[in-house]
Amino acid sequence: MKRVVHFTLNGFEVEQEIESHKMLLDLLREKFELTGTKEGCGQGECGACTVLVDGLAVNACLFPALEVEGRSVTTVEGLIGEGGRLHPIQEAFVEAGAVQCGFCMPGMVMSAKALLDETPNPTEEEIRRGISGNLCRCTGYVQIVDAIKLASQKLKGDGRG
Amino acid sequence: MNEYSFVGKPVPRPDAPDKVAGRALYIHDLKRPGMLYGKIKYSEHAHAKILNIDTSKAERLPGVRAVITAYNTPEVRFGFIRDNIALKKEKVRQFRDEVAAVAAIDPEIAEEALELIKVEYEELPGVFDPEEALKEGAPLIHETDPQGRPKKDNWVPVSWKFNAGDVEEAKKKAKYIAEDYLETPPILHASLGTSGCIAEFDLQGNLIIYTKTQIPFLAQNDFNRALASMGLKGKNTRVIVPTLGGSFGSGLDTHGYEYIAILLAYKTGRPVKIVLDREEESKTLSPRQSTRTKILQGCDENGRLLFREVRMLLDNGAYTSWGATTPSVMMLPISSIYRVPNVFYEARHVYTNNTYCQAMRGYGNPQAAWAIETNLDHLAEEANIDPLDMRLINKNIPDDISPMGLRITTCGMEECLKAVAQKLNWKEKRGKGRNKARGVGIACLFHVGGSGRVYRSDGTGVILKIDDFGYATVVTGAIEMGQGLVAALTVATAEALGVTPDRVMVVTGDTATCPWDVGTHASRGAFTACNAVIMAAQKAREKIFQLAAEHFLNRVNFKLSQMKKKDPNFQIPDLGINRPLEPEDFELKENVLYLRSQPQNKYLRMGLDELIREAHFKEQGTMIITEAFYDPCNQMLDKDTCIGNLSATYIFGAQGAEVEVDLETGHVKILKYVAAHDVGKVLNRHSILGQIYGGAVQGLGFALSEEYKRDKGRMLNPNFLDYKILSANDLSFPIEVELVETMDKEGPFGAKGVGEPGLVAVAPAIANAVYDATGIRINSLPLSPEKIALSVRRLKKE
Amino acid sequence: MNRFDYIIPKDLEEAISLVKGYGLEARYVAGGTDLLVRLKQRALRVNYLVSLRRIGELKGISRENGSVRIGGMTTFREILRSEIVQSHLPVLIEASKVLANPQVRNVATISGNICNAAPSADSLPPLMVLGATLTLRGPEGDRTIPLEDFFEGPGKTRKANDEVLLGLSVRMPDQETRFSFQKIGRVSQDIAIVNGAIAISLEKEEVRSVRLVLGAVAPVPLRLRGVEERLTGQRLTGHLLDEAQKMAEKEVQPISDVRASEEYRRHLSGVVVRRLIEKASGIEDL
Repeated sequence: MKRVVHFTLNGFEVEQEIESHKMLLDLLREKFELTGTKEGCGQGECGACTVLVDGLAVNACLFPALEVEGRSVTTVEGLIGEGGRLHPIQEAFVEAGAVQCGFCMPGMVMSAKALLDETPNPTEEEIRRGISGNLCRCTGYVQIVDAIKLASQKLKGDGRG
Repeated sequence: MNEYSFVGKPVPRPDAPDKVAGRALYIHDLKRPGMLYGKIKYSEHAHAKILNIDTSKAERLPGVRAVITAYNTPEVRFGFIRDNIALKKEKVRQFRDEVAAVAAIDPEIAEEALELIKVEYEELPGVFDPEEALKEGAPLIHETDPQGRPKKDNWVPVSWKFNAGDVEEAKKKAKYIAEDYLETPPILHASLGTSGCIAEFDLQGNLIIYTKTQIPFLAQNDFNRALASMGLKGKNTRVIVPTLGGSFGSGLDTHGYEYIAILLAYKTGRPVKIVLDREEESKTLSPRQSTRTKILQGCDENGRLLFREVRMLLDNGAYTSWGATTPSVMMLPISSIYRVPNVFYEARHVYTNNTYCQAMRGYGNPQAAWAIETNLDHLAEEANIDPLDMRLINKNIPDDISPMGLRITTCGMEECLKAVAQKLNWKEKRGKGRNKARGVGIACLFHVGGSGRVYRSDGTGVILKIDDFGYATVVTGAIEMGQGLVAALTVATAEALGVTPDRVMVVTGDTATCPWDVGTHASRGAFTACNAVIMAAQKAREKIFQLAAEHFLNRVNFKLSQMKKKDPNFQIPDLGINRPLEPEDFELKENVLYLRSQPQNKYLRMGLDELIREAHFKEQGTMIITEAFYDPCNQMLDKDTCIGNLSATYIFGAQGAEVEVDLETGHVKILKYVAAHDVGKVLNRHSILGQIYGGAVQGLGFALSEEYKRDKGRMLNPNFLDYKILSANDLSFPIEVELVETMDKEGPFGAKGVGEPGLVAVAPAIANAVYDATGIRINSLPLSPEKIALSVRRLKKE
Repeated sequence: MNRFDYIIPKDLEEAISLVKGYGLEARYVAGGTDLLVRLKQRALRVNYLVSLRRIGELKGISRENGSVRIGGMTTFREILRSEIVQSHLPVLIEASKVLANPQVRNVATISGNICNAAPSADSLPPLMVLGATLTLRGPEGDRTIPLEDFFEGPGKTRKANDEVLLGLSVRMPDQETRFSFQKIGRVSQDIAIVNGAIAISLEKEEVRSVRLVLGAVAPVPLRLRGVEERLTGQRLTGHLLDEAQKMAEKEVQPISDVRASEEYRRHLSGVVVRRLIEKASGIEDL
């Protein structure tokens, strides 16, 4: 059954018709062509589809599309500033050499965002716990943890969240 | 030593911004106009006769555009020995066998259609153990070989044997001998981005396929053969490779789903996309093969190795991939890690009704290293020698030739061993922590570092072109799969050509435009492609300097006269050049051309772009385009003796761990992990560290938690819930890396390959540490908490 | 996943009447992190999912008459951040911390964890040793049921399909009772191979009362009454612990599956029981 959902997507009010059994991931990728959010497992185990719903990190593959009604959704595309300027967290990932195949990156960046929004000065353990729902097969996580530490410093200087 | 501008400096990866922004396009993200979605129906049995396939209901489902089976499509054979066919006829031999496929206007309809296809089977007895498969009367997996000749047993007609010296004689002389039987399970590549492709035909019958592969040109060859089978002989394939999303060897073969997408696209006349979901990827993509290894090593009273004997039985599964050649790479450490004069090695593949296997990162070396390095610790104990000393006594040395004919040039094994020992505080810790169940372990690795000639050509082609704006575009058939090829090529091009990295653009992944490359495997991407680009850059510099000899001074004089026009007070300086300039007079560095004799003279400096335009925009002008094909100075193994210098250089390393074992639950807690690698030369520190950290953590999964579990051929854990790759939470310990630079003369700027070695030595290093901590040897991977705890428990009871 | 209709009712009354009307074709869905996975795996088919996510009265944590009340649709994130739970039910915090991962804890609810009735669910042993009572509402009205009596088998409970778990209530434990929680997985983040919780009250190292529950070792979270009985009234000694450990190994009824063998689960049951007692009593190395 098709239903209409209204929500805020990366700062813009949107409305979209979608079959009601679809997940937020389908809504984003198929209806809005926001393909930055990835599907790695479809079962909430890998975190590649992490987006923020009202500021909280969720797996879009297990979040029913209709449940974003009236809520605010931020995807990795929503972090990019004018002229394609990367968000300080994204900059930090680039600078720390945390990127390899890149498939886990959008989800990883969103989990880092959720973590740093709540815990601006995380310890290493808090970082590891914060990204424990995001699997990466390439990096061994070491440089990702470094990147989030670097991002935390950058955000302090930058003043934006 | 050369002073480099960019090599070894922290240059950010050019592909990173798009990836962190979600802009990189993977196969999942691509769409073609009019595209249909394909889904595959797999076998419901491990071994069965196909009696009937009824597709009539599926065909009638609205939205379905094609339903195909072996009975309404041409037979498309593929695989390393062409023992596989895209859609199965008469018989299925494994659970993942493809029996039918659907193309529909959306993926859900395609899936619904699959459920409407009814297949009748007659189940056959299956065989799931390679030893069982060799017994008399075991069910035959293949009744005929690919040529149609009857088969009498389940041996795969690919076997490997190497013999040096006289092992039997050496056994008699050996003072100490250790024998072990060691196993490894199948392992998933578990790339975060699953596999998939989009196939479409142009109206001349040529195929265009966007696909996740590491071997675009070998794939082109495979697909062209498929086209011939489909009655399209002489037609060509264009393979286009999107951003890869991890691959780790899974892209070294062409796969059933690709051929099925091709058949569906041909049948429907529309682009057809097949993307595997996680469960499909886990069940239907070939894992790293499992091994059973019987190993004996022996030494004299001083610990000097006298012989090594290794017999391996490999569960091939139902069909044969390029993975059948992994014993050729296993052979390297088996014949050549440490100096050992007498070696016997035999590896044989057996057909079973299990999933068929392929290569994975390390190409067999992780399985070989697991056997050699744990058995070596066993031998050290027999001989009462410290395992570190055992390795130092027998270490590989520079400028040596191994029994297999491997020419070891540079070799940092000793430095690596010493670095690991020092970082682990080896002498203080080894053998002293058992009361606290703490221990240290070490293991070495030996791997190809200068590509590996497993195909007749081991080459990589590169085209280098320089545009009007001074940008250098590098076009190559090598593939970026996340390992950092683009970054390495960018740095190498910048350094070799004399431009800044921001002026370099790398284009890869299209067989129609990129020059040939054998494939991205064997840790060879950066090694061969950078060597090729250095050659191409050299040619480009020659041309640039020739153009400079022709045009530079004219341009300088023209600019000086312009300045004089603008400002009559300007004094045209005496440039002090009183002879025609020669190409040798010039240098190009960081985008600027200047005279070697007057590097600081501001009137005699010119942007590369300016010179190029000067040469371009005139009658009968010219542009700079060069090419190079680098094929390393390595050899194919002799097909009878297996002797040959497989790689242009070899990589060495040592890894070690300090662990604490929870004797009750069996969990291995790593306190510290250390990796020391001979990398030749650091091209990009971030990239190398990323390869080593990532390799080590994959290796830790192999050591501790990963296992493809199955019951009579059926996979039991096709998801991340139960196939346990490590998460960040598991890594609460430091990983210390030491990079040893040996400046290899074959390597680009001295660098060796670094993609695979990170994971090779991990499992034995951990097993050796667990032994040091507990006195328990687990002879099969993974060293799961269950195996350890139950071993401790049984030991206590005894 | 089959195509189902996802319905977001405006209130509880509408939710109940929808599920009552559709009968077994419909199911309630809470956070969905388990149910949707089973639908995707085709282990389950439904035609209607009725969402409870927007029903305000199912949310929130409060203190009432010496009890803590947790609304069914409270997420684990909310439990972890609740001062009431932190100060009165720290053992539930311990379990919630290791339940899945941050993304899942942000949406998974306590009612989902209970009603899915996975024998390995991490919140169940703590809630059972706390003596939690559930309140259900169905078309016929409300009823309460002790959590301990709620489970019938893996995925099976006494809740009727059209009943909603309104919430649960836990008597605030007295000062003397001490708690601990243990979870053993294959890696740090895993479904439990064995988990467990204990509530124990001691008087001079003598056990006055004890409740001990292990998960993933039987079709339902299992109270180890044999061990409880053996411990009650006894002085905690090393010998008694050895005995409890051995008894636990026998009392559990685990299966072998892809995660662990029966033998390993039995072994771990003993280890977990021992560690639970040691940790709760503060007595180690007896």
